[in-house]
Parts: sequence; structure tokens; C-alpha cells
Amino acid sequence: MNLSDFKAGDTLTITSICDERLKNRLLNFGCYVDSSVVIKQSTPLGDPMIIAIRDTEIAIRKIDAQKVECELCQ
Amino acid sequence: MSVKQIALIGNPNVGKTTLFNQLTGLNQRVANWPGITLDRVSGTYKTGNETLEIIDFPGFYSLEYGEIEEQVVINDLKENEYDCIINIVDGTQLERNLILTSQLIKLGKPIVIAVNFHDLAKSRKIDIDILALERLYGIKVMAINPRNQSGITDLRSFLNQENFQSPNPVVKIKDETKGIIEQIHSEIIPAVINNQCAVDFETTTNKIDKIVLNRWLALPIMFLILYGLFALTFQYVGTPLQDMLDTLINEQFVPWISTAPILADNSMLMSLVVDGIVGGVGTVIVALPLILILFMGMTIIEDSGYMARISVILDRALRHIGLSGRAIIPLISGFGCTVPAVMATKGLQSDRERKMALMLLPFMSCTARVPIYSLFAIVFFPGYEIASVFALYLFGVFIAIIIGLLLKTFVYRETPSPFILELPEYHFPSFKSIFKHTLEKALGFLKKATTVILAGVILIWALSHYTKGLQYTEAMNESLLADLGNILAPVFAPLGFGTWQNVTGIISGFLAKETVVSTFGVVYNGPEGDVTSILNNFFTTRSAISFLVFTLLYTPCVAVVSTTLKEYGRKWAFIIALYPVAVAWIVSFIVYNLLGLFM
Repeated sequence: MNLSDFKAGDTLTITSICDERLKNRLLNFGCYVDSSVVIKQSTPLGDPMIIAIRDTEIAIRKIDAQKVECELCQ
Repeated sequence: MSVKQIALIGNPNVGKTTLFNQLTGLNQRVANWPGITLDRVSGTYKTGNETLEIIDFPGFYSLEYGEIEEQVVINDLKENEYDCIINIVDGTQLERNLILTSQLIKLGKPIVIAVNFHDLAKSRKIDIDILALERLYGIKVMAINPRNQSGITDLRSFLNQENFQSPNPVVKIKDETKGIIEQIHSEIIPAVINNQCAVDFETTTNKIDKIVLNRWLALPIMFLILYGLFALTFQYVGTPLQDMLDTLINEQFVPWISTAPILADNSMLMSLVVDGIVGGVGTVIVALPLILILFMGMTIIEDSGYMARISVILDRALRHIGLSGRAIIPLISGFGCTVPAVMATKGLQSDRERKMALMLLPFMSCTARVPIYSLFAIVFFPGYEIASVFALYLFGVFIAIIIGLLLKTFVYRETPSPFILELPEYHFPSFKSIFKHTLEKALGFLKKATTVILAGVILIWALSHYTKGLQYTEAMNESLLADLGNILAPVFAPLGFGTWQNVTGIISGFLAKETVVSTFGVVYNGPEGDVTSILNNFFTTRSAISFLVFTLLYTPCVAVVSTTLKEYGRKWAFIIALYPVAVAWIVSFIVYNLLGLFM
């Protein structure tokens, strides 16, 4: 399952990021494989979506979110 | 006397520009970073016999993995010998901000850390131990607050010292970014933030976002805010101020200067000053209120944090033509006046996007073109004036979309980088900072734009007031401009309006679009300069439409070209002066010939 498959409120753990540039961009926010992210909300036109990494909220497009594999955090 | 160079560095949205404005006076210099169109803003202040120059770097998150633009800036930081770096960090998001800090310290250059929003962090029970941070990194750390002077004096006196020390960290900073992140998480943050009760409370920002990003409310709210911005600029404040200035110039200044003996005796000099210089430069000065109001509004939207939300809301709609949501501001401003719109493109976030927006702006029909539209609409579409003018506006947008798609497909076709945009916390903007920013923008425009505009104005004045034999004349049909019109007329024949009168009008329109109508008044020799009753004799409906399409699309005016020169340099000034003419010619040609099938 990837980031775009989950719903608002879900807390997830990243299992892989299959795009080198995206991986590096996310790293700048302190986010990498094993980091946890929270889905915050979708936006009025349905894309991008808003997620929280630690205490930073970022918007990410669906097309990029699909490259981030995640699983639900217990 | 020496000048110390201080680099001001930090993540985006941490109050960097506010600090910059607090440190420096009203003497900014804006240039471009080498090879790119990104603003390089620097400002100075004096203490004793020393001058300090602060360079406000664009915000970035990391020294590694930057996009192309960030790399230019980062290389500059690494290669140039700045006397000291001020690294401003957001106290409420310390963990993320310290990634850049650790990387900067690894560079080994003298550095001081300013922890911003220290009070706000405290009120959220984030208790930052400044001394512990100093000890771990082996550098000076101080707390500042954006809305008052606290910490600024300390920072200033720190920057006053003779020799800056390189950092001497106690922790051994890791090499890899990932290692740095883990080290901050496990070693630095636990030592620096005393009460690590990770409270998951709902901030004011979360509450506001629930409303302004709500599925149903987001678009109406954004519409209201943008409508407010543009109504203030182009209707309620900017335009009335503009009219006042205009009246002041034409009813006070012009009569006053006309009484000057040197002018009263010499009709040529009088015409040069009154029709040429005052007329031309006047149209530029009256653009000033628009720039002031628009930039004040834009800065408030930007500094408050709402601009990032606009970007997010409109991303899906604008990405198809290769733009991000925030491009909506320059694009809509273009319907008012292209000059501030060109300036507003500098606020976009990538080189590619700035250039794309710049290329589309000439097709957003500015208000100066309305007199042309209404003249033709009254004559050729009686009863459908509003509908026909509206159709022209829509046609301009349609052409902009086509050009956007073409540019995206053929010119700027590199794969777009992943779109990741931070949604910063909402803050009350600092009005001192807004005021300063706006004033700098307006003054910069006046200083740099006026020279080129003056040259353009005098050129067109000379063309329309001198004959082939270089004799001064007041009859435009004997002028060089009319000759030029005759020479160029065949170029416009395929568009259906290739007469010297029309071409003369088009050339004078480079000065300002309103001039086209007044030029028609002269060259068509209408009763009392009014051509409404006789325009029918010179245009068919088909050629009128073709002419309207041409005026809709061709180069806005010399003020736009010179603003582009100031913001983007010579190459882009040429592009903006010439490429819309080519687009206008091609589209008018197509329209004229398509109409020929029916008319």
C-alpha cells in the first residue's frame, strides 16, 4: 500500500521510497524509511494531499505519494 | 573602513526576512544570483566606522540534495568567504531546523545561531536550553523574537566583534544527512529540550487549515481573499490614488511647467516636455500606487502563511500549464497592469516557473487596452459591447493556455521535480517588514525602470514630431512615424489592416496602450479627435476583429519591457518586447483568414 491509499488520521510507517529525488527531498524534512507520517487531510481539488512529518506539515502530490510505500503503524 | 559580509541562512518560513529587515536599514540592493533569475537581496547597516552587509539568502532546508537553484546559492555560500553566517532556526520546529545547522557547522565557517519564536516555543511547553545548544555545537546561540527588538541588540553586538571564531563542536557531527538526522534526534534534542513531553495538541494553524482547506469552503475563501487583494489594488485604493496622481500631473504640474519661460517660447521643447517626457513618464509614475498596494497585499498573504495554501489549493488546476498555484497572483494582476505582474513573478519558486509565468503575462489583457476595445465595440458590435470585450479577455486566456502547453511540451520539458511544499504555521505579519519590503520594491522600480522608459518615450516622441528632413512638425501624417507606418504597412496587409494609420497606432501603442486611441484620433483626422463616427470607413468587421486580436496580444508597453529588463536582464527584455508581436501576428493571421471563410 502506498501513501495515497490511506485516509486522513492514519499514522503510517514508511517502508520504502522508490524515487531517488523524492527520497532526498523528504530527507530534508527529516523523513526516511522507517519514519512515521500522519495523513492530515486532502485538499479541495483532491490533490495534493497533506501529511505531517514530525512537526512539519507538507503538501505532496498524489503522483509522488504513490512512490512512498507505507504500512499502518500499530 | 571595512565591510563585513554576513550571510543570513535558514529554512523557509522561519522569519528570516523579518530578521533581515530588522537588522538593515532602507538601503537594500536587489540583484540576481549568477545565472538564475532568483533575487539576491542584500542590505547594510553601519556601526562606528564599520559597515556590515547582510545577504538574505533564499530559504532552503539542507546543503545536500537541493534543486538546481538551491545549488547555485549553496555553492556561493561554500565558495565565498563570508565573515560570519547567521543561521536562523524556528524554535517551534527545532529538530528539523537543526539538520541545516549541523551541516553548516560542518563547513567550519564562523557562525551564530538565532533561535526565533523562542517565546512561542515556550508557550507550547518546548523549553529550549540555549546554553546546552551553545555547548554542544561550540558556537554562540541567542534567542530572538520576530515582533520586538529582543535579541537584535545582542545579535548586533555579537556581529560587531573583530574576529569570528570557527565552531568547535563537542559532538562529532556525522557525515551523512541521515546520520545527522539520527544524531539530532537521539543526542542533541534530548540534551537541549528539557521537557520532552511530545504533546500532540491541535495548534491554531490546524484549526485554521480545517476551515481554509475545507473541501467546500476553501475555494470561496480563497476567491474572497484574492478578490479583496485585486479590488483594493485595481479598484478601491490603487486606482483612485492613481487617478489622483494623474490629475496632479496633468492639471497642476503640466500647466505649471508650461509657464516656464524656456518652454513657453519654444513649441518644440514644450511638446517634448509636455507630450513626451511628462506624458510618458507620467504613465509610469501613476503605476506606482498599483505596485505599492499589490505588493503590500502580496507580502501580507506571503508572510501570514496563506500563500502556501493558495499554492496547494490551485496546484491541480495550474500544473497542466507548468505552473504552481501561487502563479495565480501574477496572472490575475496582469488583468490590471502588467508592470506589477512582472514584478510579482519574482515571487515564484523556480527559475522555470518564473519564466513561464513571464511569457504568459502579455496575454492577460491589461486595463490600458480597454479604451481600444470599447472604441471598436461601440462601432462594430453595437448592443454587444460588453460581450465582445469579455470575449476578447477570454480569448487572451485561451492563447495563454495554448502557449503554456506549448512551452511545457517543447521548451521547458524537463521532468518536474517532486512537488513538496511546507505548510508553514500562520503568523501575524510584521507590518514594519511589510512596509519596508513594499517601499523597496516601489523605489527599485522607479530608479531602474524610469531610464529605459524615458528613452522609449523620447524615441517615440521624436518619431512622431520630426519629418524625414529632420524638421520639427506637429502634423503627425508628415512625421517619421507615418513614414515608418508606410514602410511597415505591407507586413500587416495579410492581417487585413495594413494602412500606415493603423501601423502608426500600433507603434505608438508600445508607449502605452491608451495612446493607440489618441493616435487614431490624430491620424484619421476625426472630428475633434473622435474617430467613432468614421472608423467604419477604415475597417470592415473582419479587419476590426483581426486588429483587436492583434492589440490584445502584442507587447504590453515600454514600461513592461523595462521592468523585465530590471528583473530578468537584457535577454528577457528582448523576448518580452518581440515575442508577443510574433504571437499577435500569427494569431491575427489565423483569425483573419478563418473569418474570411464566413464573411
